[in-house]
Amino acid sequence: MTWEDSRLIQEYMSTLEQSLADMPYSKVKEFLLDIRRHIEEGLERESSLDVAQLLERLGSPQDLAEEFRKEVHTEERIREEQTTYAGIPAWVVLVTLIFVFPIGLILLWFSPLWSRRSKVIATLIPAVGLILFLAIGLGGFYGYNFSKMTFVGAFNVSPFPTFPRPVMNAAPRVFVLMLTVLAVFSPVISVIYLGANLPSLRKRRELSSA
Amino acid sequence: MLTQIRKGVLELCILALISNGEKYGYEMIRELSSRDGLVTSEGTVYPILNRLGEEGLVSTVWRESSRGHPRKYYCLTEKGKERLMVYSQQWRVFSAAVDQLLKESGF
Repeated sequence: MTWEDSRLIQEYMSTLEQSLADMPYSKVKEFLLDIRRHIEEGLERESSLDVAQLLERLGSPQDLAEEFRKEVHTEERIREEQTTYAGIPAWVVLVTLIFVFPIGLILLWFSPLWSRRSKVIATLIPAVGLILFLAIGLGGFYGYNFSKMTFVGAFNVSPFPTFPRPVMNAAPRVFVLMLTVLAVFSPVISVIYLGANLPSLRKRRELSSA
Repeated sequence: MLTQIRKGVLELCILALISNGEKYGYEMIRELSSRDGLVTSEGTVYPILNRLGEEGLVSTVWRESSRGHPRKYYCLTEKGKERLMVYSQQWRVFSAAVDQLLKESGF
């Protein structure tokens, strides 16, 4: 490949990339890689082919960008059609998640409204909450026994029996209370997260930022 | 006028091409464009392939070529097979109807 050839390819690729600058980056990246691999494959397999010919067969960067846009929009439309077809509206899933969390979770995973990533995050938040809640429960239990033991011990030996107890417990108690509230309300945090990631809202955000 | 029809048909052809085993992009596109009138710009096939992937009709897997380059292979999923059956049926009915009408109109 001559210097002129690589310049042509470079130019082609950067024009394509520029005309897709406003589209979702991960998709654009994949597309650019497909096109680049296509060019490499063509040059490798057909040694008689010159670069200009190969690029002409590919189509102009503007044509490709236009086609890319159409397909991404079709994809979104299909996803929306699937969501209306699926029946269960988003608010039912969200309300069930707050009141009967396990059932809500099942509805969520069957719903095509959210991406897999959002579903995993929405499931993990309460899972962490539950672990936190159990940890606080156990920690509180042992902590209580422990402080009672030292208190009893201190009462027998120390000349200032009541001194350590309130000082040691006041700060952790507020902290534990905050954690408990957080843990108990973690499904609500999930629901807020899912609500913010509804397809319709996501689209509106993208439109307003474009 | 034919661009919309061509695209729908192209989708059907892509599904049919990989129904007997996986193919990588370049291979598939060369096969498509070796037939007159199917593909105008070869690069426009990739966004369609990507969308078919998002719809779960095709799946992709990267394999290394004999020269050590990575190639993305496309294969038909179960859902894709079902879709191909439906599309090919619809296409036969559609094309037969158009043929018949054109013949009757003297074209």
